[in-house]
Amino acid sequence: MKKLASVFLALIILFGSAGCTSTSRSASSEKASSTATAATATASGADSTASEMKVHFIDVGQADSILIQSDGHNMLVDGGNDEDGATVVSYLESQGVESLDYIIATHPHEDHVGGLDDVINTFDVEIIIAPQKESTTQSFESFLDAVSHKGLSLTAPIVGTTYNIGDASFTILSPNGDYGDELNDWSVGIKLVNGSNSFVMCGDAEENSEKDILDNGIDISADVLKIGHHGSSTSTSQSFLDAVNPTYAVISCGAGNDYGHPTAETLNKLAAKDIKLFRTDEQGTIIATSDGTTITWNVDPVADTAANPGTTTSSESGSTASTAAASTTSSVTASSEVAAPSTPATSEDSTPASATTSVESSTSETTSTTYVLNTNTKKFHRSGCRYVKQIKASNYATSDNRDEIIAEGYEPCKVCDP
Amino acid sequence: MKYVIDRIEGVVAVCEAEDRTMHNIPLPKLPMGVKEGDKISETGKGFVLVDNSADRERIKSKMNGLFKRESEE
Repeated sequence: MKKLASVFLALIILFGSAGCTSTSRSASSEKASSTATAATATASGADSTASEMKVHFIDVGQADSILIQSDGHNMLVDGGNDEDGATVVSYLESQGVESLDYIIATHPHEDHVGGLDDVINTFDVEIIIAPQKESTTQSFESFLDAVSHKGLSLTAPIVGTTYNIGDASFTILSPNGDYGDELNDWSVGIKLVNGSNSFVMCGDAEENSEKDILDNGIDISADVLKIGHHGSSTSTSQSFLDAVNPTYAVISCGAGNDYGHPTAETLNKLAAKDIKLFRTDEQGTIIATSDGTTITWNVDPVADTAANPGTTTSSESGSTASTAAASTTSSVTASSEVAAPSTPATSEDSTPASATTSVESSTSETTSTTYVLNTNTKKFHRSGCRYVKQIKASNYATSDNRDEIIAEGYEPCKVCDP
Repeated sequence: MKYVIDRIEGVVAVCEAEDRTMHNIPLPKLPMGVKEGDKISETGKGFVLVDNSADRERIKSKMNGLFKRESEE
């Protein structure tokens, strides 16, 4: 299996080399030789104990950064917030990382690519996989500049392609199309496999992208699911969760974040399936160790999966850089309107105290639901619907009385089917 | 102060200021119809949209130039 995957990769590289610049050609040939070495080691070492693979969900607050290590090879999925660069670099150094075989920049949002410029400037990197979709932030441009400065190139994710990382491998699951300006849905998703253990992580991919992953036919069942989009209700659709059917889930988010992550809705879905949950906001960096048959963890799962959905009441309580950044907001942009609106009249089970949180978590079917209205189009949506983002502020309204808004002539959105 | 909207989380726009610090701004405070990637400027009368299409083109071109050739075909 692994050997086949290597051959496949080598073929891709061979094809890819034609017409490349000399820089990328030499990088490609280096990669090809290291891949071949890995394949040989796998073949000859089949009887010995399977290689240990470590997956570190680094605590970078309200952001993602995941280090994967196998047989002396390293890979990083996302680099945290812009100001987490030094944190990520020093964590990688503490784990003995000197070079990275791969970096995946899942998508261009700052909480994913932010720290990658520092990582790329610090370590030797071979292959950087990123979706071909831009952002206009300095954080993103700085990432591009670092890639350029090191004479590296970007590799577009091709769904179904498998890469070796030491004795483990990963297969690209997404993106499966052009998602326009829905940057989260552009997220590069992967299934990481070590022996019979597997992990699925898809950045911030939302329901649309999850549906396309399901449709592409790749087996996405896995032991561990990195919950999409920090536990937002816009990701982890039921059908996707059922297909991955994980034993464990990891949520990477910041304590007291301003967005209500993770939502009660997502936590309830995990609890309903008895999925053991790990959270970086409560437990710091989470490390999973796979020996090819079993996965062990550096901490115990959280005691009550459904407890502690995101709330913004304690936005000053976190110690992470991102929280610090958020707290600077209030003085500049009067974000107190976000942090302390009137007590939400919705979602009694989650008790969030911000407009953001109450809207997000209120999509839970078991509680009173707040619908988002577009007073112009006379459509109403679930709070997590992608069209909510497009509603102009002047046309934005909410209601928790479905019958009443229908009586007023509002129609349910065809996409989110509220 | 000018900001670029990095992402929209529910009803919060997460914005990158010119000094690269990140700020949360309630979406209803922003001009109608703003999208991720838009640039906004804070004035005495609130936030106004600033044309940054040239920035987008520059960054997009820089990004496309970094992709390996086969991925552009």
